[in-house]
Amino acid sequence: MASQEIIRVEDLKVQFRTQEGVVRAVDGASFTIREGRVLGVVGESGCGKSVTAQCILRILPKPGEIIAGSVVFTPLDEEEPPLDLVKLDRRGPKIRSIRGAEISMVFQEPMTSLDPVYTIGDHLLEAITLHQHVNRAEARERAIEMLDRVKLPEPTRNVDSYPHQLSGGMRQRAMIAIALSCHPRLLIADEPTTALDVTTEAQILMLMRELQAQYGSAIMYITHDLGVIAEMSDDVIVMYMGKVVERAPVDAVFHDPLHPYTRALLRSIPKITGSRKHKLEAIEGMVPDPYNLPRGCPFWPRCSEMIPGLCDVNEPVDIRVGSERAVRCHLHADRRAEGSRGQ
Amino acid sequence: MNDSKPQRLLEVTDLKKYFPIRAGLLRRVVGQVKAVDGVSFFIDKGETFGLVGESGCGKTTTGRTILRLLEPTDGEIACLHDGERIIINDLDDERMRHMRQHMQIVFQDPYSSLNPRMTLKQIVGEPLLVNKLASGDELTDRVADLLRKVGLRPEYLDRYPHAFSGGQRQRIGIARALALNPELIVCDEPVSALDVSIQAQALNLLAELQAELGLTYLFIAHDLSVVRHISDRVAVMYVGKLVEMAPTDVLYQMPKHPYTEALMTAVPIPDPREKRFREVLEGEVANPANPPSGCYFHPRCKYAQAICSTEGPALREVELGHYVSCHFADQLRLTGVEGATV
Repeated sequence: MASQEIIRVEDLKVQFRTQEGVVRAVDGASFTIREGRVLGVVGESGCGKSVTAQCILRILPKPGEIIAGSVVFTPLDEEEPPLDLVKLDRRGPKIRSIRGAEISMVFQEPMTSLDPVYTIGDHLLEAITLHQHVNRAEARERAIEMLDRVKLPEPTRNVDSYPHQLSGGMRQRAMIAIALSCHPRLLIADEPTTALDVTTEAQILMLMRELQAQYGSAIMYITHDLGVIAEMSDDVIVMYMGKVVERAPVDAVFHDPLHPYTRALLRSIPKITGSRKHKLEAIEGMVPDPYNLPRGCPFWPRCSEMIPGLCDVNEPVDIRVGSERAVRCHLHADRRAEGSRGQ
Repeated sequence: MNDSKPQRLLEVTDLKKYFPIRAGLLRRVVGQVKAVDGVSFFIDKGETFGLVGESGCGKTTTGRTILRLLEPTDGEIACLHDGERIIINDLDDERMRHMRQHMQIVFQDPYSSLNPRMTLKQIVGEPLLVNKLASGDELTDRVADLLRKVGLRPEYLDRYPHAFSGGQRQRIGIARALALNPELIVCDEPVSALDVSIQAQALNLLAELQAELGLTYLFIAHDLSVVRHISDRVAVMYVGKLVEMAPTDVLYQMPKHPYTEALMTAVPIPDPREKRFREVLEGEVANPANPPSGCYFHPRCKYAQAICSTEGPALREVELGHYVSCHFADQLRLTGVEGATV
């Protein structure tokens, strides 16, 4: 746990005001991302995992607004004081010097996140010349080198290719090259392999692990796939309806999950190994309407361990368990005392 | 589920579906995309047959061609109905419409496959109305029954699809497919658009309906864990051809085609303690408009030898019920999902 903290998100709250009402997309998320570690973020669609990432980069689309909390960024230079990214002007020079240079992002859909009228090289050159003091020839040199690093075939030719000329897997490699071109300290990967086939996904996962070992960047890896989480993460946060319901090292999440949602999720997925069951243990009910969240814990209508009169009335608080875990559930209220004990 | 002598409900022989590539001012045909290129398999009554493969391999086209939503270029599709073997591709429009009562489809995307301007009653009742099987109060009753069967409340009859979540919409799609008491349902990626916690519900529903109604499924999907869960037998497709077909556990544990091995070992396992052997494939899926010579998989196959680039292997039965198209199926010792963990 010696590694330095890059991002500390504290009690982040985001809301979207729409005609139908107010959605609290992120509702009190707290976690940290440390140097050289991979934080897996898992949850279903609409749980707020992508919105959380957008807050870190300050690229939250309208009508979303951050209404509370902080995202503290620790600069590499120890002379510089920690910086609350939430307080920065989202169009100002400070965040723009961080975005793409210190923190960069790979999006889910490589088809739509690359501009179809620019070549792969143009995309890379923009990132490189914006943040590094090099001339165009040097930048192009670096661009080709980056494409080679991400194992894009024929980098000297493909640097002049347009996105549509590449396959999905190759486009995602190009996206990763762009994101890593300025050696960021944190790479946010938002479902980078969801649109890819399983064999291409395996290639990209392997590539990301190799590059991480090489560059030592931290990764915030967002996905709904528990298999990918198990494979990629060091630490995991589980989100449900805008809340971080569980936070723990990866082994604990899979072998000693505390939150009923985490447990139910793990039980409900069909496995590729082991015995084949006739019936899956499905989570009953459906994800609640975000405009009309249940009172108390958002998971109680689907929870098999729900305590009437408590879970449907009071919202559970974040309970620390040991030094590196936390869970948001009334079942663990008695663990609160252990919080300070550590390990 | 299987009686002593299983009946073959569907038999597909050498099915081909080519899409022409047109170019130039006269839109002349300059080539063919061989989306499905000589596929043969059968499905027994009451079983679930899984068809897996990566995007573009032709699995969806296969499913649609069987129902003649796309006209096959060549090959034979035979379906058993009332003890009679009916060759689907010979039927005229009228008889095909009649036959479709027994063969239905559930589509992948529950958002685009339901007409937003129709109520549930209209959507689910349309097959009954078109085939003049029910109308008026009887229609309402039948639709209410169908909704109940898939776990939706009959009070929802007059609502529109937008009022429902993805999981509920997929139930509506399933109710529509069930309306005519079909024997065969082609499930084309029925759960891939659903959230993880909703997938299990939909898979359980399909299994329950199968047990209750004796349905036969052709289950098309790319998610290998889902296919393993639901299927009795599984076939793997690569660039328009079947490369391997076997009972589920045999295929997953003892694959005999190098592509199946790569698929099986590529799946990330939801357990951080399992460090896996991984056969990461190099390169890209071949272009079906311009496939490589010989075995289509040979440019990516680490076991490939000289013959693989010149001669395309045929699908042959190497063990009882285990079909493989690989020149070296008898010699290779490949890794399945279980062996992949070390």
